[in-house]
Amino acid sequence: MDKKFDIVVIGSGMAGAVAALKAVDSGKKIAVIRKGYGSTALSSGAIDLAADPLGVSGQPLEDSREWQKNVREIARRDEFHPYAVLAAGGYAPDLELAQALNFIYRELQGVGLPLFPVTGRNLTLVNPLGGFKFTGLAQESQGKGDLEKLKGKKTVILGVKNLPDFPADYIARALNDSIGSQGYGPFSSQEIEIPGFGGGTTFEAAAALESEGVEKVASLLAGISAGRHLIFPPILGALRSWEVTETLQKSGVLDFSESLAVPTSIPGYRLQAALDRALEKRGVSILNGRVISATVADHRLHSLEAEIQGQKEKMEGQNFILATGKYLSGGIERDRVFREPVFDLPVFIGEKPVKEDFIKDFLLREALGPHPAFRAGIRVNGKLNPLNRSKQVFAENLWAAGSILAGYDSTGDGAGLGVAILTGFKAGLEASGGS
Amino acid sequence: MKKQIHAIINLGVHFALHIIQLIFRFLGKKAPGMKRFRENYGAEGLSPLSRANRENLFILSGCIGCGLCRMTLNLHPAAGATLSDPESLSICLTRSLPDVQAARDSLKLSPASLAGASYCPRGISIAGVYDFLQTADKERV
Repeated sequence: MDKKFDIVVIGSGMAGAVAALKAVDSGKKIAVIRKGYGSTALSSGAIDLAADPLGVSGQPLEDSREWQKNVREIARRDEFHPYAVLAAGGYAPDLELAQALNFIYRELQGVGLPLFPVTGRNLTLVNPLGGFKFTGLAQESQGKGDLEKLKGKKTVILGVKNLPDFPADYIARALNDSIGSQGYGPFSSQEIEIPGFGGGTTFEAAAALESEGVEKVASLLAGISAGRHLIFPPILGALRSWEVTETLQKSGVLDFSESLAVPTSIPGYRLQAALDRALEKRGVSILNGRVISATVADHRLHSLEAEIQGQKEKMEGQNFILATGKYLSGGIERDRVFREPVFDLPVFIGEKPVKEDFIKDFLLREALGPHPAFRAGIRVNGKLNPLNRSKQVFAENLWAAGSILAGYDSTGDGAGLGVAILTGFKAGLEASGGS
Repeated sequence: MKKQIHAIINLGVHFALHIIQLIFRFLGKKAPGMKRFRENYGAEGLSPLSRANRENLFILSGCIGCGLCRMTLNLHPAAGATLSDPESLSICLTRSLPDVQAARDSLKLSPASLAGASYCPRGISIAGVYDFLQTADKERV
């Protein structure tokens, strides 16, 4: 069976979803084909825009918090970073990112996922590892825990009985040790029990809280919340998060927030589920399947052959957007060789095309260092059209967005979802011929 | 010349043995190689896999252990099960095939969870995991 669309987006993480949502503004018929959720579902749930390229990890430096300034600095210093590539294409990435953020802010608000208001400064949010990180935009439940706003306020880290993934004692101690002397906190911890939760991960705890536990938890906390800010583990509802928040507020627990998450992530899942709702609301077709092959001729992509629910189907489109992610989602593979599996586009690390190269040449000795291998991806021109081995445009009606792009580490360099939103927004705009 | 005749006789004898072997196999005798493999490795749970399941194994081992399926598919681990989720399978597939059998006994899937297999970031079908567990076990000794 043939399927005809104006624009086909491959991948439905943040970049693919933003591209499809922006493209649908033009009134065109849009389809998203995906293998499953994007790695957005595994993110902290907050949207990192740009960390200070000169900043020291873990130190709350005053001048590191202006994310637009950081975007400009990254674009100036790192020629392969997508912010720099867009700047070379004549865009102002800092200003365009602000525009893209307003767009996604409205889209998510419209499907019941309120975000903390966008400001020019990075928020400083607690994570489950006993540290904190700078992030540009967060879900409302997370953003209320901005440590800058809580300076000097008694803050209680709430642990949950039988939930080892969130060691509240340790987190409170680590925060007091690292930043307590600078006027943050003081931090203490308290353990609560969620009825119906006998142990497991944050997923099971969130399910228990949503199904029956929240009222009891709220009544327990009403007594201790006066004059204190409470930081919950990242469990404040997966599918009905607004009900959890409302119940807490109605019971008198007013000043609370939720920690960032590490995979497996309830806030990440919540963010991806909200993107899915936004796509459905805007009439974008979501097809679960995988692209098998593509027909390219005369520098144009004509159609895709896809396997959708076990059936082979031909998908025709005027324009196409590739947003299949990096290693986690399979947009870039490293199985003996580096490869991009959908169009067999060349993979680059920096300026160097890589294929059968030895992986160890691109890994550092320090486990948590900025490994070049994590910055592998496809290269694009300033309009986000992917380049072939001769560094010419592979197909003039194909654009790429998100972590498949070379030059940045979507999980480690503090600009992960910011790049996804900006490049998704631009790709959607370019593919739909909009403005 | 003498060596050539010897080689031709040798080849002829082995060809005849091969034909006899084929006849026995055709009549229902199992290949001795497979029998020996099973005798040697059956106790450790290392079972031969069909071509289809070898291909499945490659796809299923793409699991990154993110746990999304556990959340979204509402899986029901059996009481006391140690392997209660598909991502555990990725570990035993690469390190301990006997645990595949344990996974089969542990992983209980409802029809609803089989239907909703569209969440995996790697596109691994939960129904595929389930089928693999069932058929891989049947392929055992």
